[in-house]
Amino acid sequence: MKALLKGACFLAAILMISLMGYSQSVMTGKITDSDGKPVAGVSVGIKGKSAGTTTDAAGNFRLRLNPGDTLTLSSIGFESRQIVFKKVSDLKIKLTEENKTLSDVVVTGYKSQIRAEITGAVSTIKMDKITEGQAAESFGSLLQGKVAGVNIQLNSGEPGATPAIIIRGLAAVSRGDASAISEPLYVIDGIPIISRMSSEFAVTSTNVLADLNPSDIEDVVVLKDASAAAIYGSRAANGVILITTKKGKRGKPQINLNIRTGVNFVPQLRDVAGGVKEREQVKRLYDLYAPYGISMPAMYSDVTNPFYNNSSDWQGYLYNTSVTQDYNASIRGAGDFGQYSISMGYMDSKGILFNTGFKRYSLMANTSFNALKNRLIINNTLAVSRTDQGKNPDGLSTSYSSLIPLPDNPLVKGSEVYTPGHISNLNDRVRFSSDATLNILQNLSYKASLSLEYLRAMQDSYSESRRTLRATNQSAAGENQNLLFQNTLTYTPKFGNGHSLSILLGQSMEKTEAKTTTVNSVSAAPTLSQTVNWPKGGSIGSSNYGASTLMSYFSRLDYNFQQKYLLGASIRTDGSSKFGSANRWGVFPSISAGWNFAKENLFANSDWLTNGKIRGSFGLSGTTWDNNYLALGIMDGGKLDQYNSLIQIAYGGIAGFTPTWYDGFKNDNLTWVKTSMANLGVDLTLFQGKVEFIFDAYEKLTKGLLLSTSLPTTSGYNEVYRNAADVLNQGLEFTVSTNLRFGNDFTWGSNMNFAYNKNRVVKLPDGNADIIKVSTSGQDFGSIVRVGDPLNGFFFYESQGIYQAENQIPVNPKTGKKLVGLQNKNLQVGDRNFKDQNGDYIIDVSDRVYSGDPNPKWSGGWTNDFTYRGFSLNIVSTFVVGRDIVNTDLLDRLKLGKAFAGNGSLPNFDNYSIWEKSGDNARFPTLNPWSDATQVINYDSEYIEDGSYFKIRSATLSYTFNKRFIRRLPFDRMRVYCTADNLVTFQNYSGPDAELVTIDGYDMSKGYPMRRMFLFGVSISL
Amino acid sequence: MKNKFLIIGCVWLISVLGQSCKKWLDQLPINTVTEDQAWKTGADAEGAVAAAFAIFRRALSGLTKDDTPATTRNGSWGDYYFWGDARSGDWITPNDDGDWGACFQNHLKERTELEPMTNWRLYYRTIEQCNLVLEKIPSITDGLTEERKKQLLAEAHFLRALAHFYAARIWGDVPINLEARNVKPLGREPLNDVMKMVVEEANIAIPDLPWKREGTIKESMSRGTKGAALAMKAHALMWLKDYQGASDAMKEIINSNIFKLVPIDQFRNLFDAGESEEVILEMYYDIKKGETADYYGHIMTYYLTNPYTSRSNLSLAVAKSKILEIYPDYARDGSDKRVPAFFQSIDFSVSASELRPVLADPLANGERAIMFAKFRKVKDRSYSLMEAPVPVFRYADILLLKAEADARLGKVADALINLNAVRTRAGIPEFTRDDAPTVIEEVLEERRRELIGEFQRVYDLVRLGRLHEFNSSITEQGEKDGAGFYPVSDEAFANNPNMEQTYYWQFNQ
Repeated sequence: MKALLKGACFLAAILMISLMGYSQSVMTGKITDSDGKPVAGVSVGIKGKSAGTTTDAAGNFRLRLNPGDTLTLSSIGFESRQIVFKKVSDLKIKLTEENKTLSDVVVTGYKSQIRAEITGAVSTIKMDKITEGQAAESFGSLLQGKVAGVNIQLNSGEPGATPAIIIRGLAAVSRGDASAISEPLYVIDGIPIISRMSSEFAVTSTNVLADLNPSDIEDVVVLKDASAAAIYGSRAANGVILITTKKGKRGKPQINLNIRTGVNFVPQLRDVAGGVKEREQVKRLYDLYAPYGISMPAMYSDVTNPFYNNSSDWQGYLYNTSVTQDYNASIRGAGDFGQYSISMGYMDSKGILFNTGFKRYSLMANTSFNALKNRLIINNTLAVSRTDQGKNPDGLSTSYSSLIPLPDNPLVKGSEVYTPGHISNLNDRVRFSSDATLNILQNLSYKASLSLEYLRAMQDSYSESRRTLRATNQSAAGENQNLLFQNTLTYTPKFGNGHSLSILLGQSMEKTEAKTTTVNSVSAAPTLSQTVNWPKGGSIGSSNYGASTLMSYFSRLDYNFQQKYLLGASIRTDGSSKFGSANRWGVFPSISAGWNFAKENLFANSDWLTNGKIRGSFGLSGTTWDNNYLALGIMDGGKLDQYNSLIQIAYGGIAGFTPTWYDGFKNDNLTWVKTSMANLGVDLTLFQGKVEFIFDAYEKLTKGLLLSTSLPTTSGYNEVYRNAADVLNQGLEFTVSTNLRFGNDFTWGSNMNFAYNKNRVVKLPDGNADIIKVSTSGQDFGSIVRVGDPLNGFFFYESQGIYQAENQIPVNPKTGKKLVGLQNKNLQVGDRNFKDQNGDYIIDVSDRVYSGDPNPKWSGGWTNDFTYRGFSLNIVSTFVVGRDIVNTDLLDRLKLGKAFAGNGSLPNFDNYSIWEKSGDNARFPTLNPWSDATQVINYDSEYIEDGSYFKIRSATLSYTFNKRFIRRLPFDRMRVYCTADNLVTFQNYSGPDAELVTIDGYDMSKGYPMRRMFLFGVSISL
Repeated sequence: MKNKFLIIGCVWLISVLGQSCKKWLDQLPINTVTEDQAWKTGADAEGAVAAAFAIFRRALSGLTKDDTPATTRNGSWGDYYFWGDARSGDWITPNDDGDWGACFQNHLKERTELEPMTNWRLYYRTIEQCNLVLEKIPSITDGLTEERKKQLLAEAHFLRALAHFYAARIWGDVPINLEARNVKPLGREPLNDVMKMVVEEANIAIPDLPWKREGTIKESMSRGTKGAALAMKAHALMWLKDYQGASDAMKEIINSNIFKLVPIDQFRNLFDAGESEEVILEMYYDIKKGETADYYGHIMTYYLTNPYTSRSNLSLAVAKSKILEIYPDYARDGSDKRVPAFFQSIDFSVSASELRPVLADPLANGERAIMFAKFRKVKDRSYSLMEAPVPVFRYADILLLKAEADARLGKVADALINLNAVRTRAGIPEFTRDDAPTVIEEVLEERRRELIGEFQRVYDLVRLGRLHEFNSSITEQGEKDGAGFYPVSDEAFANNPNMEQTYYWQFNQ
């Protein structure tokens, strides 16, 4: 009531003023686009007043105006404008299309900069158009192929899987099989967020960033070089990804709905010999090779037994077409009071593999209030989300033998042997941040912000052994918290004739905590419970906690003269609790400069050069590691042994602490991984923005990567961690984009980017000793880290084909003895011919050589946008060139052990040239499963293949109903679209998909193939 | 107005920056302690020394894959047996276990299963823990009396010497590490230098060690005592051929009147419970305190069967003919009471689902099926709860060792007193010949009879260079080249350019 009264009074006052106001009059104006065509539906308001209107179909509007009023104009697809009304002639207003200008403002570290004034390597991706037509679990996959030097690999098709995002080359070393990734820092609206749970505390395997609804993102900025990233100091060495969420815009409230449904199709799967074919293959292997007295299992010989007389397509049974649904709704608006933006999303992406899928519920509310006559701006953001990823334990496998009946076969229907089990992964995240900006003076402002992030992950699983029918339950809960308090002071004076200065001072304190609790039980009787019910005995639980704090002071200075000569410098100092008190603080400086040469008089009248800039930068940034207490010397109180004896804990009933022998002792010398990066770049804009060209060259030296080095056994310790390894990445990045218009209605925009990266290990501990990677279970899996070579190369035996004749097997001329094969095998015709590298006539470990590089040399993307009137077609392709990968999947399936029969499905041997008899021109050696030394071995260079591919990642065809085209549209705008995702792949690789490989180059198609999706949707703006 | 904001802002900023208390960056774990927190009180000191003994207990039992990824072994096997007894030539593996057989024949590098036994990592962990104790405890004052501090430091001296001593008996020349956090690549020191160091450390420890500690005999004798340090010193001096010094050290033990030979019918107290006045040093095991070995980790697992464990066959035994050879008095007239105390025959005709009876005649089961039952547990047919303490030194061992020393010094009469004390207890006639070489030989035989399965025999033979006489797989030259010692594991060569393999093992598997 009160509000109504107030409103009425206000209206009355305006009326009075308008009656009295001699100068105020109703004005008509016309709004056109840059080509002079009228623009309908533009919101026209007056700053500080509630009056407002929208343009009609002819682009005309009527409004009462006083001279001096500020008009605010906004419309989707156009840059917002503010114009001070002076005289009638001002009311022919041109709006420029969004995303076409170079003067746009880019969010960089702790502040915004005009693009022309940026001196670092910074890329911006407007997400609006991308997310409108594509549904994705995380924004990461939508960035694929969009930014030069940002290599994004979707190496699993599982809904909710984490894509590997590497900026400017891999710079992480590990001894184990956890393929270490150099992860960038993610910052949402100025707040660094938890982007990953450290392995120690990872309860769920869902992509932590998948809880951020991509539709909420306005744009993504990638800070690639040190000058841009160094302000983020100790976490910026691998690049920084800044995410800005959508905010309300002035004008009438905008309500958006986006509804889409996709159908996921099963892509090409592994080839399998089915039914009779499998039986024949097994029989043939037995006929050829089985030693005397070994006969085929009944499963293969007993054709009459219906239980085994099947041709089950397990892949076909378990992989099925599925449906993805994605709904987004938002309301946003802004005015003098501030702005608001509320959005909700629901996504349900069913996996193509049974029992898998990903669901996301997300809500984001952002409000800003202007107080004290716009001198105080208070901003609150609340983001709540839940992701729910369903997974399969290994209860049912897609690689079962085709002779085994499918679960829907009447023979086994309802029996418990096929109980598949289930794993549920739940991530709940709440992010709350609040900040206040006080504009102390016209160009001096102070901002304080506090943010709290809480991420709870829960995993409940239930699985059952097909053999023992024992049920295993596991229940795990993890909490990750992040508390951040930031203060920044910005001073941006302009003086003299075009001198412009910007100074930033800041401080931040951050605390990150993680906690897990895990319990599990094994019960003899199958249960259906996914939680642990604590049966007597057989249960064990554990919990873990870790915390780290960071304190930082930072400053940045940017200076430019008439936007012509640019200079930037930043410095940050970080103190981290992860280091010993002696080595706690790290300093990360950077310096950069740029020259907008197009603004020189020489080019003043040039009609081809619109913009041209040369920039260079150098800086230092850092990374840390997960283990919070590594430097402190963690003590060990012992643990119960596997029989619950205290023998490792107490002696004579007295318990005490010993060092943790694996992590070494207190290590005050541990310090940051320091990365120095130099960058040189050129930006060119030609022909009024029709062609843009960006070039960057960089050198990134990562020094002191954390690596364990083993200590002499006489010290008592196993190993100690040291800042021991250095990696160098050098590269070139090219981006060419064109914005062309043909006639009145047809436009073509394209963006082609490609990046070359050369990766090289510079230093390793222990006198640069090679690191042959070994998994936690002690398995050498064939990767090597060697000084002078790219990271994680394949360390394999060099295949020279197959011995076709006895006389091909080399004989040692000194001893007259034949070359001895692996595992001391007496080599025969049909065996793999490995090169005896050291000429000692024995094939052994010392004959393994560096035989392939899994790091992509060239990567990039090519995006094309065509529009014709309301139609638009958008095609995104990505490519990788110059990468070696191992067809592990084929290798594993050809590697038949003695008990191979019945163990799983077999590939169709007809599709592979496999040696059987002399003269066979075969690629693969004899498959004799009973051979003393199998000839199908890991580390055989024959399985290394070219991993290059070109993928049409997505194609979107859409039609936009717009008031510009259809005047009677009940909405402002409506867009219908269909998108084909993962459309087609061109590759040399013989496996299913060259992208489905691990970072270190091993095929993962066994894991989860990438679905092909057709998405249909409609997006409506009210 | 403007100024007001400016002032408020500045005050706020200063207060924010000013509160950058240093404590913000001090984060400590809550589920364990850090090095700086671990050495504060008397309780910390007590715990640290006990932990050193716990590591040594595991060192004797053998390392597992928890200790180093280089080994794949899930649990230890009771490696003290493999080092101290397996190769003496007295043992057989009735089920023809390949790994055991390879060890008996001194093929120590051939089998990957034996590889963990070549790794001395846990001995040097014990040593490092002692080095840390010696570095950190002196500055602890909270809850630690000066007297107790002295005792604990003496125990650390004793234990690190013991670990060196035990390792030297196994590997021969071993590195000496007397410094905490010593990551230097240490080379192997000559065995004599190691033994000299052991004697020096014992001399440092002995004055501050008590003869007895509070608590039960097991609690007392499983830690550092004067007796244990003297016994270790005597053994080390025997290796150094300083027989007078050894004899003197052992005389101190005898004169203390703390230890005595117990009657044979109290052997269960001695071997199964470790609660006997004959014990000088043993490794603590006790079910009541939860410190037991299970399936793995205790050699008893392998030689006991039903009715003591659920095993149905023997992996490890002494052949009947060998028993009769070792115990000639028993062969002659059944007089040696140690044979029925150490060996048993089980009635295998009874179903394995029941507790099988023990036959009256210990040797009834014939050549390859007699159970070695010197250490045994209650009859309950479960694998679990092996709690017999692992012996290191015992009074009979010291008496016989002194007899050897005295005989070598020509004091045959003194030697015979101690030799006959042991023989008399066993119920066999006194030894009366008085020529030193014969007495020395008989003492060695008596040690074989008395200490069988107590991890002494191989060390005696290696010390005297006579292993080749009893183990047909070892030649005289081989033994001179170091065949009596274990090879050094590959892991010891990692980051250690000063490490060398034993000469014999450079050429043999």
